[in-house]
Amino acid sequence: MQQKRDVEARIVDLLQDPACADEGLRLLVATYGKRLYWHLRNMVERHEDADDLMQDVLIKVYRNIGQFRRESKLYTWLFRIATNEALQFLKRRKPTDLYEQTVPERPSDGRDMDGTVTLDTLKRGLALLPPKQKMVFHLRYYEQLSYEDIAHITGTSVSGLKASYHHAVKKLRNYLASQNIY
Amino acid sequence: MEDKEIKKDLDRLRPLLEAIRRERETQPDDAYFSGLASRALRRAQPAKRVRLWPHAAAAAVLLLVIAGVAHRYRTSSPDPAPHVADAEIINYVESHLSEFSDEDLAVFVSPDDSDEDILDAVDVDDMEVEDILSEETLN
Repeated sequence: MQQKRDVEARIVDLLQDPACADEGLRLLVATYGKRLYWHLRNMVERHEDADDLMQDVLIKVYRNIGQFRRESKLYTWLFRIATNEALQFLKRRKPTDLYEQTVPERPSDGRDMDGTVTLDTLKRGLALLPPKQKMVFHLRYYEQLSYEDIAHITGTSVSGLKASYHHAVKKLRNYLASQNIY
Repeated sequence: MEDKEIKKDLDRLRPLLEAIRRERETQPDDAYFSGLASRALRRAQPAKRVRLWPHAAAAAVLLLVIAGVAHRYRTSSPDPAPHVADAEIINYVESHLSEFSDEDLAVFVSPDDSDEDILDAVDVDDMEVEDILSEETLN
């Protein structure tokens, strides 16, 4: 935990020093790049869109690091910026684009040749969740963030987040059941 | 009660969810993340670090090219009705004076005026002039 805080402090120190800001951004990407990418990818589905948003997020962080007051954790600040960018992107994107171009194809029978349950059906179930539930599920399950941290990132109450998480799991379960998988 | 229900569902989904997590750990590849910071830095460089003079020179060249093309267009634009002599246009205007408004007639049109000047003055487009002349005057 202390080591994590040290890395965060080092990243911020570097980014806030104009002479070392480039090095700071590289360290930030090395530390949080993959997590940020998958947070965005999870929300917007397509790699190309997630990649564009990653660029936008990194540039925003690079230019606005002076506004980071170290009162919150760096990664919650990063995830907050990323979340806002993704939500704005989803508002601009037409719902038909979202469904037609990002939801994985439905597998023929939901099962692989050897009878094991295919992942594609679960991916489709995840992709079909409403954006907010999808985001909360990802942050809670995959990022293993506390509800308090997620509340800070999304600006939603803890009770609201718990309800979203519950609905997301329930919808996933029901979707898999409807595909005779679960 | 609710939490237990979620936990039960998640326990059943966990093998699949963890398989997705493993997939994500290797995608995109490391090369993608290595290039990510460099690409962002190229876009994020503040303007003060960029030498201005090459951009200013490029802008000046571009303006000169645009001005040259515009001048060339002005001096070599095709005649809107090449097969119609200026005298015929003047005759037409004179014989149809009653059809022109006072505002149109307030504009003096001389044989020295270019086609473009005449068109500007009477506020009709090339096609109209050509149509009028070919249908009414020439036929």
